[in-house]
Amino acid sequence: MVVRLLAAGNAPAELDAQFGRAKAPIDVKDLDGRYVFVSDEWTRAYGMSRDAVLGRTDFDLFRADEAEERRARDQDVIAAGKALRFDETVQMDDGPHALMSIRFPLLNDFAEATAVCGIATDVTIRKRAQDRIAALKEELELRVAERAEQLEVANRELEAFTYSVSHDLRAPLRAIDGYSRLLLEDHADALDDEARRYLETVRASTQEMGELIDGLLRFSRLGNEPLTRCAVEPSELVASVLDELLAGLDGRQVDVDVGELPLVEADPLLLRQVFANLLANAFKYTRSRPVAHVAVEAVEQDGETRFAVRDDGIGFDMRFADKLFGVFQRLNRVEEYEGSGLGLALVERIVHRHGGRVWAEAVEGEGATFYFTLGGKT
Amino acid sequence: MAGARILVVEDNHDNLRLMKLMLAALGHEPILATSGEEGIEAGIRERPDLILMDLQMPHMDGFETAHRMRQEPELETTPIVAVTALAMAGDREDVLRAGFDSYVDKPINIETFWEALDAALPEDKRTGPIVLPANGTAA
Repeated sequence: MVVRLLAAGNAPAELDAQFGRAKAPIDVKDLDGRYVFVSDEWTRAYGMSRDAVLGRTDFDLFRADEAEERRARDQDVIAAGKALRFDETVQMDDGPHALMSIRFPLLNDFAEATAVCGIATDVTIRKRAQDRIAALKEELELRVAERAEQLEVANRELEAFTYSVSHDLRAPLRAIDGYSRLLLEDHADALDDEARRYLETVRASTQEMGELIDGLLRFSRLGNEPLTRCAVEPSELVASVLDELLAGLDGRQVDVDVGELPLVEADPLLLRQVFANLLANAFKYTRSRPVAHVAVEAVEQDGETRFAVRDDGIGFDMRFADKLFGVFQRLNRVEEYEGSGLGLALVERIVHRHGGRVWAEAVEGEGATFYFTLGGKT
Repeated sequence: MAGARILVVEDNHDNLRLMKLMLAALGHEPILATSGEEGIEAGIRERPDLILMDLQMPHMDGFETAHRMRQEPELETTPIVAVTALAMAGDREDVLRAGFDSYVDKPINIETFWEALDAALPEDKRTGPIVLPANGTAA
């Protein structure tokens, strides 16, 4: 075995032939601490020539305290009778290097140590990379946490602002609507047809603005109110939403196909809102079809339920898909398709509050499908 | 530290010696073979705890040798660690897909060698952590 082979008083020349060119700093010292052998890599790492080292001890080559320590290590190894690991920092031409070495006793046939051998490896680059990764990771985590906190504060402020503004807007709006109505009801005689038509338009507009404000209020409240999750039968929610929508159809035909919808854990009022907004959209954007087709489906996928609301309406350009769910983002002109621009933003908010995802696929002129999940069943 | 009996299959004598020395340092007993054919023979005869296999050998390379070893009932389940100069991540995948349990990169260094062996060896044959004495770090 190599341990014995090395220990049995090998001539340095033989050690050199065997390990001189090995790609690792290797050294062998006798029991008195005299260097018997060092490899080429060792001489490079420590910046000492072989001639300067062989036959000498650490006390001839290193600072007294360093030598003391090196000697103590070897004695630890001899006493332990087995390999020990050491880490050290060595000054090289290009700065300090971290060396990890294993030192172990070379034994004779009677299992007695006759020399100590060390094999080292330069772990500087790896260590430097690890330190850097650790530092970067810490910094990143800190920044993410900071950012999240800032965002949350900003979000809360925005919600509070939205709430108070919407709330305060209602009073003057009520006054405008109220006085317009009074004019129409109590002073109808004093108004000609044109004036009456103008006032009707004022009232219609205030109503529209009222709905917008209600939407904003709902949207801002959604951030704060806790979810009340319970077992919900989505088919019932969908049926009730469809009742309303089908009753409001002005003579056109919409074929609705509702697939089997599994029971889910959700906030029933909010989930109803999701179906209401998605289905209202499906009805709205199929308006140009003589016979429109709308479908509601669900599939179980990766432990969660994925709902889909499908229509064969005007669809949209997928390039703008990321704009769909933004507040007041509209892909169509308001003159063509009425609405507050809040419906899908609300949907996204509700779905996110449930821990789910919402996305859409569409082909322009052929229809759109909106998908959503409600997260795991927690 | 029980130590393992480890068969090294490597045609390059410098590498063979260095691995031999490192195995000794880690408390393992090396069995040496300098070709694939020799390695299979030694493996069947010696039933090592683990096989270290150089990939680039003349005649029969490491892939072929490992493949043939796997067909021998004695060596069917013996962990085989590839010793590879191929440093590309994709090549490592090839190595694992070819039925090697793990790999160590050349040039071999004692730290990764130790880690790779301990990871592939059964618990009672590992070198285990080597204690770092309190005064073990030089200034």
